[in-house]
Amino acid sequence: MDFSIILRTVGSLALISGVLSVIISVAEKVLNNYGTCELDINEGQKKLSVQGGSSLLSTLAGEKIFIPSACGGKATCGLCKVQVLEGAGPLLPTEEPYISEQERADHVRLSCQIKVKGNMRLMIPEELFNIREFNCTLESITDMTYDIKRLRMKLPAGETINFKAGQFMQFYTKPYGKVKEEVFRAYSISSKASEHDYLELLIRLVPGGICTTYVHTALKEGDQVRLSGPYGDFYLRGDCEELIMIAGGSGLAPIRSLVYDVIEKGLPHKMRFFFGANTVRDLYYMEEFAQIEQEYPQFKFIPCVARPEPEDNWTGDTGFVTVALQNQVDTGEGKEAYLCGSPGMLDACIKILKEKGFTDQTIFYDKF
Amino acid sequence: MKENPKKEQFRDTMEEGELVKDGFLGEDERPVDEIIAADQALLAGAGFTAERIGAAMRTLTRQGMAGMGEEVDAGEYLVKAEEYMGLIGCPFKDNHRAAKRNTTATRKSTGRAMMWTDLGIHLIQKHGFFQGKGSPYRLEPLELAAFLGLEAE
Repeated sequence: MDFSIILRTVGSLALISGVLSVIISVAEKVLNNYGTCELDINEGQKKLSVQGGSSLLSTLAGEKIFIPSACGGKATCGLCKVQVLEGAGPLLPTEEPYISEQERADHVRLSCQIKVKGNMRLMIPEELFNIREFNCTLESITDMTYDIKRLRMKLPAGETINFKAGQFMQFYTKPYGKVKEEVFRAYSISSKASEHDYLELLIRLVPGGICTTYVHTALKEGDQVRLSGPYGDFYLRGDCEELIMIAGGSGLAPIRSLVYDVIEKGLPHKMRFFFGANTVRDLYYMEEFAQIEQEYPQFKFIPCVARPEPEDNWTGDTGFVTVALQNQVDTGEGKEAYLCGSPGMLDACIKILKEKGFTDQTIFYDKF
Repeated sequence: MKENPKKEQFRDTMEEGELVKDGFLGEDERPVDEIIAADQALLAGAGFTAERIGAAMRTLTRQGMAGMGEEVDAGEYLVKAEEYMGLIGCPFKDNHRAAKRNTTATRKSTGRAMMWTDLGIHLIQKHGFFQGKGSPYRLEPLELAAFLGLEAE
């Protein structure tokens, strides 16, 4: 075969594929260009002109309206619900598991799943307008255990935050390594609600986790970190005499904030904090809670270690936190329970609490 | 397992840094459907199915969960199921949400240990996806079947 024919054929094919790529790229831009869309929020209270094409969650975040989300828009937490009265289209299969019949009737949607493709009419709870974004400076990053780090972040000069003890923040990563895009995850605030210019988070390394790996391997003191919040309805109700607090691992974070809140506000509640750990090396903040216990007789700290080693000389409760709970809490009467930990621990503790008379109205925990 | 010939459409979600840091594909450049088909052919030839393997993994994980992070004796195996806060969605976008749980099972008779996640079980049992070659969580189907002590059918 003549070499020039081969060259011409290859050239023609390259030209055709080049033209096709241009057509596809232009078509994509035209088809996905939803232009400017109008968002009417709370019956005309707020009107926004936004560029269509992105999820409602990220579009609103771009307008500094932050809807709670723990999973970073991956449709696994179901927190980012918003009432969309018009313009959302039919319910998507990815939303179905999270939307109850009543919510469906009320036009509730997952804002991370629906795209802004035209004008929309939304209802957003007033309190979400108070959620703000903070560009903080990471003042310190401290190893609390072999897999939990404490981040202490200073808010920008002149800025302050008001949050309820127990609430959480969304923490945004920067691209790192092979992670090309920013992601965000939810972490409970561990610092005191009375401290308005700092935020502390406790972050446990999750094997393979994008955000926790970023915190544990890429983040350095002095780095700028972006947060938004505060979010969540895990906070003190206090319609009781005693608070039963239960945590494992980094679940200690919101409980620490709650304990300080009760103490600093001079509330009369008794508090018992059951902190579960598998080994002694999983324990942290031991001295601090022992100190609080000494100073405030209303507070009792009960660390439980499932498997202490002989050389640990462990003198506290031995066994799972569920055992301590079973043996040391008699009844749910006059008590509220506040829990934070892994789903398995939560399930096991909630089962015991309900057997003792606690109800859905007296048990509080974050579902992420 | 229900056949879905269009799993390649989920490739983007499986890349590194999308759902999980290391992704689900490793260095495997084959289309996702091809990865699944190749593993399925291996299993079929040896008399196993992904559903049976997934079910056996789930049984061990459930036994391990009783230990709440501690190793438990589960007959032929020692099993430890470690949990983290939060949930993770399936990259095939089927609405499944898995707990962030890692199970390590050690076969007492051989000392051989294997590790998997709850999401990994779902991927195997529902999608026949053992993950791409080089993925840190890939489990070789026939090795896994042997490890689990499954009889060929």
